[in-house]
Amino acid sequence: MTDPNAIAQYVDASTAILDLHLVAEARERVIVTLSRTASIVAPLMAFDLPVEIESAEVYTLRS
Amino acid sequence: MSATQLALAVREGAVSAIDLVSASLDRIESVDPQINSFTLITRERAIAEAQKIDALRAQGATLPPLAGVPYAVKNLFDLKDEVTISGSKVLRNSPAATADAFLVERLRSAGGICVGALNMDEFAYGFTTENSHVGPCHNPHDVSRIAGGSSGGCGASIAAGLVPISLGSDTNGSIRVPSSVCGIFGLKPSFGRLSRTGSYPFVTSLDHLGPFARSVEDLARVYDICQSPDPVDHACAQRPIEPTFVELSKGIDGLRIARLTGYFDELATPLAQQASRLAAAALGAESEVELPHVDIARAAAFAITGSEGGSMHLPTIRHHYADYEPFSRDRFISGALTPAAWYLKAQRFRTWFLQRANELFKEFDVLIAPATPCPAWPIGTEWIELNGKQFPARASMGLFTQPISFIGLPVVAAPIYQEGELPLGVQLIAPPWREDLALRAAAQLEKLGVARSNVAKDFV
Repeated sequence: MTDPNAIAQYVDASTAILDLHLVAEARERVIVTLSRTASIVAPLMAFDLPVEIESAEVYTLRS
Repeated sequence: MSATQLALAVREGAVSAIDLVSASLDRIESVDPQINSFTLITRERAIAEAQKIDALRAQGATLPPLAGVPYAVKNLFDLKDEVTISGSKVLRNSPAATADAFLVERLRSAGGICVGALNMDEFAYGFTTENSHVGPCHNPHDVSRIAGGSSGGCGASIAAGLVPISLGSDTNGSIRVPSSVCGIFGLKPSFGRLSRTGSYPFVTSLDHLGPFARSVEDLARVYDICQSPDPVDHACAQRPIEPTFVELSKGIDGLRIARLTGYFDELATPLAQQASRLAAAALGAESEVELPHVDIARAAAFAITGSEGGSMHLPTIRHHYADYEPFSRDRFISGALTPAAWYLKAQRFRTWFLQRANELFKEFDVLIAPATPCPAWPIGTEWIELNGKQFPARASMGLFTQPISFIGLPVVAAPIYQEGELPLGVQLIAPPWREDLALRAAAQLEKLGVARSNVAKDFV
């Protein structure tokens, strides 16, 4: 997700869902930060993990 | 003097604990304004603890191993009757801790004397300890430069000779980065090795706690004292104590050691590459190996950090945005918005990446990489250049540490001083639970004089 407009829409929708109200300057900085993160994370999301890892549980019950 | 030497001096009666600690406190108050490594000096507590040690000695009792040795802790550790601020402003009015953190209690039981709490990046979200609330921590080797982070106070206080040992935390590099740029030894143990009870969390999937020191002997001794299973911390491995100090004398006999290349060379300045090569040559490491997709490991750690850290702080940032560190509050908010798909993919990638590392560990016992891409830069730096490319400075100090802590491997950061240069350390990386191997390699580098940790010349 590298389209700046898409990220801006995502930030606005997400903050609305979380009932988080950002002033304009903060909103702009969050959009820039999330855009940067999206670029960093893109290779991770494009990476194919073996199915046994992709479908593994992420929680283990502990007593 | 090292912690070991100080403990011996107290044990033999050459100096009383009260005299030792008083001198330490006086020096801290006199010198620390130049580096801003302390945020709290616990004079009353330290004097009381020292008096107890002296009383024990007067009774002829056997003194514990760190009796009379002053130490300090990053200000995310609970200290009884003090407020744990974790580098923040928003926590300043919180209730005081009712008990010491687990590791602080371990040091206290060993006779160590807590002299204070140390400066850090707010909530540990940084690699430079440029804390806007209390001011930056300055590097004793050049006070215009950063001390690294987020445990900058831990590194600077030791490099300035204010304390011989300290305790810090490392989520993505926060022990190894200050160790590297302040020129001291640091140990990030295996994930889950040391209890985190009584420490303020940052990223529970990635947080580690560990010691700093000016010698490998001190580092190993303090680490051994800190070891203990803790059923209260569900992430703490229920392993028996596995002493490492007694292993140091084995040297590197039988150890298979290799230098990591690829990502760790491509993003390293010539000075960082040279540090790695010097360590490899000294340890007789002729092999060079690569870990695959280290850049993706770093990206995954980045995603997990933002998501968990952001989610944890969301309730507070919602109402106290202005009181948060300007360098990190928007990263926290951005992190809280991380899509679940990113976070889960990142967690799953950990398993794959650890499998690749363990494949390398079938052939090698210790892997060498630079700890930081370059030495400390001036406080306030926004962008740095690494081999012709521009990088945002503050996030980039952790380029080499983040992929390794991501999979919880134990690492000793060993300081390398090259002629005419500021210190820049190397990571000595071992398989899970094998802190002893990394410490043995560090001890060998220290013995050969390749890794050394002196008090910064302006603070001798």
